[in-house]
Amino acid sequence: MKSPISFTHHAPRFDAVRIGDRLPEIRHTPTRMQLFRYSAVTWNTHRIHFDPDYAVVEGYPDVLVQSHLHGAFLVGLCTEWMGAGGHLARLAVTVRRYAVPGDTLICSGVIAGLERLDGDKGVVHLDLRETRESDDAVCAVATASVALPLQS
Amino acid sequence: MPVDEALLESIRTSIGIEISHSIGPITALMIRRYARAIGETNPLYYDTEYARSRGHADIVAPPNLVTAVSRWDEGPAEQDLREDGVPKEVQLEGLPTSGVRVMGGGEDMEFHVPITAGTTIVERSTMISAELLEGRKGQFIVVSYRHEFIDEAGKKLLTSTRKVLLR
Repeated sequence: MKSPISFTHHAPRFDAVRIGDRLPEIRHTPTRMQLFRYSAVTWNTHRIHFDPDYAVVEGYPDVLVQSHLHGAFLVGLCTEWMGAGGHLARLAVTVRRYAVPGDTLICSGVIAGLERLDGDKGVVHLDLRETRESDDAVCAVATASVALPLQS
Repeated sequence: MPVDEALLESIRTSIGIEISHSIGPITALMIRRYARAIGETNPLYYDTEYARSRGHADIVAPPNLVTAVSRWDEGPAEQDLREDGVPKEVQLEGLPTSGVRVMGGGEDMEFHVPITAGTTIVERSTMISAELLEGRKGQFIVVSYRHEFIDEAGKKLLTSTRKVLLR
């Protein structure tokens, strides 16, 4: 099991990033256990996320990754990249395709815009996507805004 | 129940009505469990001393925690869930959605300030629009809600605009 203390400390500064820079990718392979625990902790009783027999009734091959878990993976992409000095100010996410346990989901992002603010911060606008490795299907897309310090 | 103009009109009667309820305190255990469930290892979510060293009052909730929780009360008894597991009476704050498939259509979240363990939160929800659209597989309705999460002093913590699709 991973220790909780394994956060990578890197702290991008607003002055040092450029439009077109790519965020380090993060991969997730959600398991049935993860989906069960996510439903439990969010008190989500929707059967589509924990009952494979019911999922088949709705025409799916297996239980589905929760839309907010897709969102959480994209949140994590931003927070891991920005480090402790950054602030995730906004995330707008749309889930386009379902994913099931065992799918490897690759979260990637690119800097799409830069907005210097008064004071000691700037805002970085990001285009994000979560892509299924097996067939390149885009499961979720998002835009995000991250405030970064001008100086470390 | 067909997804049609009649359903749309019944939904639209709820536009603009604000529903406010207390969520209660976000506990440290809730934060740590949510962080574990999403596979996070960031000590900001687990380690109080680390969070304090970064200027927070206590450990911090992962940004989309409060919007991810389906409901904050005990929920209905099992016989009061639909066949798909969705509570009969909620999902859409009292809308008549029997027989209608309900799914999320995207969410736009503004994180005003980090939410730390021990913060008592009130959620204010308002339906802001409902539209009937024509899709490839027939008509569907898009309902948009704004959810504001504020603390006891009224400070805005998070604002979410969420779309729900009815087919």
